[in-house]
Amino acid sequence: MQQSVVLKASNDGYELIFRQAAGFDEIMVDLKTLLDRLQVDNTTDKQISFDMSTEGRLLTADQTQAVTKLINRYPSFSIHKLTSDVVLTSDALAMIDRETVHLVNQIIRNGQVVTITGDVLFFGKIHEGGVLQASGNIFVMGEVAGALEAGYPDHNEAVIVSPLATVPKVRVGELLELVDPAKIVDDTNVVYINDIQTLDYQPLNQLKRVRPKLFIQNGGHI
Amino acid sequence: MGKAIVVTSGKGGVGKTTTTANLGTALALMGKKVCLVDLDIGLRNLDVILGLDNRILYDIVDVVKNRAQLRQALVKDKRFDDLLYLLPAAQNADKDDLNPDQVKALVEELKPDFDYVLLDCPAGIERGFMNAIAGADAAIIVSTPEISAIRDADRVVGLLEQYPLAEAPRLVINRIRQRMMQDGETMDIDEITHHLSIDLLGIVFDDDAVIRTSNNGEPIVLDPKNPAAQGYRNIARRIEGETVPLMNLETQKPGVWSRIAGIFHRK
Repeated sequence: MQQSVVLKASNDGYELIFRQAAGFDEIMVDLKTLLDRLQVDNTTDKQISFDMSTEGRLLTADQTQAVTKLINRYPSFSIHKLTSDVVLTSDALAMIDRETVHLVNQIIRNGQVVTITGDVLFFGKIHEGGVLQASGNIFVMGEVAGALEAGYPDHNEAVIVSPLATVPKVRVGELLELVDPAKIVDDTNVVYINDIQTLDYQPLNQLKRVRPKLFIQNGGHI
Repeated sequence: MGKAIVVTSGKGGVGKTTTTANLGTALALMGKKVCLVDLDIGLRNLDVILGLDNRILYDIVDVVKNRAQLRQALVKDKRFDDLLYLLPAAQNADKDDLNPDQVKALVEELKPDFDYVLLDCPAGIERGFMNAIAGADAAIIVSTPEISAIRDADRVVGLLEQYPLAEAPRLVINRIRQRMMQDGETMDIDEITHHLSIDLLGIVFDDDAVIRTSNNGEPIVLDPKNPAAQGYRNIARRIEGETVPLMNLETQKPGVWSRIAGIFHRK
């Protein structure tokens, strides 16, 4: 019969694979047997740190705790990382949300705060007293007379790309300020947190220099 | 089944109560059966503008607390046969004596008997505002051409998007001073409408006679020649679904005789 836990050795160390078809109780029994044997074979005092993979299975918090507890019983073993080939649908959707540039075309009125997870390409209007908050970057093509808050609440790598002539207040990550007209450098400005941790404005053509990561593509090219 | 329309603004002093009284009167003049509901609890004055303040026996809080029947509390305006009624606000109570569900139930009780139920909303966006919009099918946002009033109107439109009514809110620009608007000293009608991005229901010019007549308990709309009255009458016709062009903003140039008379009046 196939083992429910497989031990693999590579140059990077040891890997424990929990077979997807096996039941969790079975895995725990086999894992204990395997570790017992390994401890006997391990004649040196060398610490072994395992990479663990659960394949197409997600362990519950309780199960993860049970595995951790078992490993911790052996003084020379520890867990390096515990990975799975799958994620929860809710986590996947949140990830898509975070990674997507959301197109927003609405009026944000006095007193309204619109909060968006991810990046925003904004086509609408923000009236005086309205606030657009995004956990990612904000790119503005509409009219803004309210506040822009990118990287809300604490993502300091975010940028705002927008005309600023009519914008009273900007916030990037944890820093916020009233827009100083003297600092505006171009029709369209890039607002970001610079190396000395202050809000800085650069002309649009400096965006790639300021935040090169924005332009690293993971796909989409034909 | 009638329609309930809330008249609101956010900011105080822009003419909500005057607008409610005049639109109600104008609709009654057109033969519609109208009930005006004063929701400004503690600071009632819709009754004063209509000249009905001496005829109040019970008020809206009496009705809600079951101290009086709805019919007993309604005050009939005798100038309009059986067409115009007022449900007065309470004076010795506050906004917390009413809740949105009670107002909604009350309005639902009124709607079958009237063509229009106009709700006069108190200033602010707290409990009184929530009470007023609870029973409404539509909203009229009143603003003057001042930035502060427009800013508050914007806030109220935002709140109405949060608690949407059956119909989108429409805008009345009140107390327009023609000369100031022509000279660009205030935002003009297009700018205000475009800024707020809601449909314009009508405009009303500022006129001393509005204050004078309301002091006498006679809504200005009863004087058909007055420009402010024409504004209100036009709005009432548009509420009824008629297409009425906007009034001309341009002030009339004085004629030859009045100019000559003006020379003699100069000091």
